[in-house]
Amino acid sequence: MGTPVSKLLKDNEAWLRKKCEGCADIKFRPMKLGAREKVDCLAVYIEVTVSNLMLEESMLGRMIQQFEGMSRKEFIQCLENDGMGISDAFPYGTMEEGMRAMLAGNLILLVDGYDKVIKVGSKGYPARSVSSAESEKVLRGSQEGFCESVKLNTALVRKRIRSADLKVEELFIGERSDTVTAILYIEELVYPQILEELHRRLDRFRIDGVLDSGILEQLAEEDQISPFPQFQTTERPDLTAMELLEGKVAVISDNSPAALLLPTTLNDFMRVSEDRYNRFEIASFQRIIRYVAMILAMMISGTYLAVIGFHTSILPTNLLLSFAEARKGVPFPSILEILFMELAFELIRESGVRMPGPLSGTIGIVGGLIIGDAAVSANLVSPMAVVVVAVSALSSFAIPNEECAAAFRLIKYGFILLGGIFGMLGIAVGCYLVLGHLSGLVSFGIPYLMPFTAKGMEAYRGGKDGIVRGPFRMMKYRPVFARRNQRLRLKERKKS
Amino acid sequence: MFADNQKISGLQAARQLFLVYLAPMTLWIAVRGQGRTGILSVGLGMGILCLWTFFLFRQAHVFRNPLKYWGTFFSRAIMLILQIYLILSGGWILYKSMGLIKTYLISGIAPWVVGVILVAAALGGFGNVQQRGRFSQVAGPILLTLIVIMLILAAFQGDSKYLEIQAMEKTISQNENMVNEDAWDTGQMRKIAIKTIEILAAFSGVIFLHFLQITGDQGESHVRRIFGTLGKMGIYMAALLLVLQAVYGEHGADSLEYPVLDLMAGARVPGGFVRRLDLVFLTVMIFAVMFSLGSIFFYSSYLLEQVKWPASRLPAAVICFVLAVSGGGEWSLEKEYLNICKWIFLPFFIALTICAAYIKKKKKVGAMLLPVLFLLLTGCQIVEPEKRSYPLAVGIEWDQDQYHIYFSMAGMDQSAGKLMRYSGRSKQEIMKMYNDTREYYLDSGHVLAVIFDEGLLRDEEHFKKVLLGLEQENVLGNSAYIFQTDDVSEVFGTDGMQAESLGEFLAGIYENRMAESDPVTLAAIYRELHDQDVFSLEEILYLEVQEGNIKVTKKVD
Repeated sequence: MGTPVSKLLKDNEAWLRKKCEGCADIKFRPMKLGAREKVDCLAVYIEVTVSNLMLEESMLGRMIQQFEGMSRKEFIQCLENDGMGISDAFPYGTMEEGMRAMLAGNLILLVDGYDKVIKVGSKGYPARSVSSAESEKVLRGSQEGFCESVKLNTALVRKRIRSADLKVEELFIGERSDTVTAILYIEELVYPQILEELHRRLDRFRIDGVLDSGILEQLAEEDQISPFPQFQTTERPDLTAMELLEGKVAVISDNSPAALLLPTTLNDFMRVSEDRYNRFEIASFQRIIRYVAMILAMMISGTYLAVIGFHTSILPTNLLLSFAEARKGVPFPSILEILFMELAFELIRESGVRMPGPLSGTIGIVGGLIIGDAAVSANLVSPMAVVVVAVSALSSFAIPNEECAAAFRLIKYGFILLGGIFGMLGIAVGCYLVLGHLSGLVSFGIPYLMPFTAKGMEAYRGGKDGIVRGPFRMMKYRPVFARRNQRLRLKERKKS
Repeated sequence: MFADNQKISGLQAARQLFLVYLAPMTLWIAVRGQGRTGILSVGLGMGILCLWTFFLFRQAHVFRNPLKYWGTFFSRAIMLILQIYLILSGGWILYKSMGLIKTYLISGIAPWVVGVILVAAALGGFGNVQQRGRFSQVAGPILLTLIVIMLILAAFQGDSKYLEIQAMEKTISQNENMVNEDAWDTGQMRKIAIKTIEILAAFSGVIFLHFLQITGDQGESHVRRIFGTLGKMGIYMAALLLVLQAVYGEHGADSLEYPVLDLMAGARVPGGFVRRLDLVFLTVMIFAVMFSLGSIFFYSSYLLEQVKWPASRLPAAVICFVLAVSGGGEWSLEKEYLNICKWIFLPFFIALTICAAYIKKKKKVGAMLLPVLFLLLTGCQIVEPEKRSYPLAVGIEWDQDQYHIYFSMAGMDQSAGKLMRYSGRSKQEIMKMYNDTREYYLDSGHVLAVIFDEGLLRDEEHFKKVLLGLEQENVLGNSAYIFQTDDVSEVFGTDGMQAESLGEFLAGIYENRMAESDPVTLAAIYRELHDQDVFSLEEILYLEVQEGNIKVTKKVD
């Protein structure tokens, strides 16, 4: 319960002015409306959110024009009967609700003698318009990406799933930021337990501000120590819609262009939306490449060290000799050499990301060619180390999801130490620990290694979308995320 | 939606069973059998195990609720014995693995360091039943696929004559004794019986399945799964024995400590991008060893929970480690473990099964990886590749009561093209001489050809000594080609006069002109040493120097 709206405009204005003391960007615009008896009104809004040109074109403008010829009594009656005929106007009974609506970028109108605050939709806060998803480029399929407005983002999903089964729940998270967070799901498909669990986790913490969905992600994940992402993030509305149709839940936070998808599995990070649009052979081949890249990104540097430091006899003699020849004159042990190159690569990557657009490409060339070549010429590293680190870097870029790639890049350093110190024993230990850790991860009750684990269970029938994607016509069932009685997603029409 | 009920599917339980036994059965259990008797023992053992398992399923409820059916005292006493079994098994596996890794993988490492790494990793791997289930479901097929591929590659070394011998023996035996059509005498039957008991003892840990309430599946489907897994394990072991026999002959592998690794060392990968498959195979086995140890620690704690005792994986891990580190003393864990299983635990488990059959009425009666960074200070032998010498050809002769060893080094070596000769009465003496005079570490993992002096080949006593010495050099592998000559120094004197080194030239004779002659490798010579004790020397190509060039011929006496 909040403070009820008084019939006296003065009281309401005093309440609002007290709350908004020192907020120069919040404007109070008193006005008198009505033809015969002028009615005192007060419009309150945040400066930039309401256009100066709106009076003629906007809802408020039309409202003012409509009220112009009315008496005080008619005026109040019209408001009470919701006879404004304006779609995006809503009366609130408490001052707090009105305040929240105003802070969300709307105009609120208070009328003397009327005990409601009227929210009038306006253009809202400035935001980027819909543009292409820069971090998830595809060759085929929609190029639309999410922007920073939760309303626009939910609309982009709704545009793809035009069904009332798609539910959008709104939450306000953050004591001070009061960030609008939308939870999207298809009611018939999603497990209610997943929704309950999500609500439980979001309610678990009190936080002052949620500025991006990444904060929600970290608050709601189960294993906070794991480097692996436990939510899939995407900037693509088509991928979001696709996953909703599989029975997943999407969380979209205001001010964030990334939607969170849950539950998620390791396999989800290896998929891109165009996997569905391409033929299954092509999609499968690309996915195999990504899995190979995942293993290489994690292990190639460590395995190289294990082999050249301990088990040289694994390599063909000529290859080994060229390795040894290449290392002649390098003053550092190979483990330091690899660590040096890997760190140099991380520097190049980090600076490339932070640099303004046109410069980032230059950084890549400077880093890759000049530093690499100069380091080899100066005998700081051997050419083989450059090759190994380059393969490792390329592999990490081939992983479609940046958060997942970052996890493998981090683990790579563990493999470098293990392989460099203990040889293949270390590599075996590393593999064992990583697989053990992945086996233990669970995302909202779904094992992280699905569909590679538990596929023998009767409940699981959507097994044609793992390392290899089956022909589209054979993918008749939704995966395990969807409710058991809603698994069928494709069937042939009966011939008439 | 999956329930977090600490239950796993039957498939996951079956794969766990396979994975737990994968390393022990591949490295130590299956290879104790030999050829036909081994295969029969495996078949018989697994068959009896299936029957036993079936019988146990009928009393599963008695095992799953020990406090309820056995009473507090007896159930705790049983658990104590099971703990001893688990800890001994863990200690044995750890002890064997420590030795194996030190010998084959990291020569300079202290065994206790290996022990710490393995125990820490095994402890760090799992936190709950479901995690173990998922792990085994994912890792099982990957490991099995790798092993099967490597086994197929290794099988190409086999010679059908080693399989034919048996058929021939059987025919001869049948002709000699027309009354007894079966060629097996009582000695063989006894041997099979003993081996069968060994198999039963080694796999008697399967009984633990019935103490665990981990599977959601019950009844027939569960029984079928376990039978299927035991069957697959049996087929796997039989295939292993068959390949070993095809490569080493019936008794050829007896004297080898790790025949499977020697088998893999000789395997050739198409394209030659991996020269030594045994190291890859061993890495896979270490992975499986960690799973076995992890399972032992985990179920040790799980069983304690069953009888309401404070449970933790750490005590079992620590005791296993202590046992493994002290396992090589007077009382050798390595020697005694299988005997203890055979004569103490197997009868105990059988007695337990019989007792369980008579109990009809209900009676009212933590994962972490230890900080391994401190191990940086321990002495693993890391030698950078450019600081090694790679002999590609080795010549050995016995003259004037001394061995003379010649090395032909790889192209990048400073001494490439120079004749390098070391003499001494023993391997140690020669190695000391090398180390005293050379800066680089001698990496004999790339030897392509071994050239024996003809005189040494005829001197059986010293030739055998040399072969046994070479066999102990694990890093050498056993795929190097063998040649003979009557003047080793002259042959090595030509090194550097040709476009390629002596080793590459000699290996090229076989590898580039495959139709010319069947290669004789170290593996073949070892096989003859152990299996037949007779060497078919005429098969070894003969080298002679004519006008500064090496001529390769087949020696005809």
